[in-house]
Amino acid sequence: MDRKRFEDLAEIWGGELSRWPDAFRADADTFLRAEPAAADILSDASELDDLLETARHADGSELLAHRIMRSFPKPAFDADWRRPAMAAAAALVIGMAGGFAGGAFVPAPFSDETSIEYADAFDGLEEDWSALDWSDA
Amino acid sequence: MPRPPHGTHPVDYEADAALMRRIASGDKTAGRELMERSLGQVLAIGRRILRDPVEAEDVAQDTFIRAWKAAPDWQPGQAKLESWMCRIATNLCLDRLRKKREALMESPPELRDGAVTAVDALIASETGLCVMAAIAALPERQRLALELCHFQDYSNIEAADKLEISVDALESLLARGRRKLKAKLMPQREELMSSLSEAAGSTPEVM
Repeated sequence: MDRKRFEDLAEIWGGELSRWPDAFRADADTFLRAEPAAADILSDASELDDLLETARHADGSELLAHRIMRSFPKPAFDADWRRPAMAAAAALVIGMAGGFAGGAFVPAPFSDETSIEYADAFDGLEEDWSALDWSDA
Repeated sequence: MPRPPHGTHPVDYEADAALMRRIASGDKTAGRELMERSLGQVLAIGRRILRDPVEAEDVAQDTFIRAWKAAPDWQPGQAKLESWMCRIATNLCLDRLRKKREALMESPPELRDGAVTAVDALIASETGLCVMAAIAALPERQRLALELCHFQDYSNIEAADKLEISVDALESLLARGRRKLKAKLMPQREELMSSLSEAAGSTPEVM
């Protein structure tokens, strides 16, 4: 690479070798180390780069930010209706749990199995009371 | 892959991925965070390419809508989030220019009188405004070459491909564009840079 080519590339790609195309960078770096004037060429090109950087960002107004945020997609499950739905479901669960817990304090009717046990309670007892010795009575 | 953006911090791909996951789950705060991070760059792209602040705002809004919708499909490690946003904005701007060209069958409309100064003067630094106006005065192809290669860090091959021209033609556009900017801006460089320093010390952030 000669000085003319180095100057041309600096004019095209600016003052930072890292931004030059890969194909030229190694040669340019070699030239930069060998040629004292090369640093000045890059420095001159960097002056325009610095000015261009002032146009990299633009300030947006609050109004624009607000307008953009209004476009934010709503989630599939919108919290506006999910919240009351969740509250209703919670009330239902709590009500059912309370109902079951309260039921423990109410005497339960005998089930069939309990009735049979109760009826069998006297099975096997002697029915012929005459055979008993009542002398000690 | 785009080259690493100029003058930016090391890329934290995991943080970007986490932010996109939050956006995908409908976290509006995360959406705002992305907007605050990249609105300045996205808006500037629209202003530089389209030269119309109103259209630039439309493109900015469209860019964020697309980014938010694409959040569930975000591929961590493929690109820096801001660079990706800038690419969306650039493509939207190029689409608009293409459509205008097709609609008018002629070159894109010239900069509306005072379009930049009327709106931007209120919100941009004097230096940035002056540079923006100098860029806006470039012919369209030179402006696009500068946008892609200087501001968007496209490689020469990528930019040439995007503009459907040869690499030699791209470099010619860049050289001519930068030469014009140099001729216009360098005589007032000292004044512009000192104005920038003063503004940095006194101008509050609008965003």
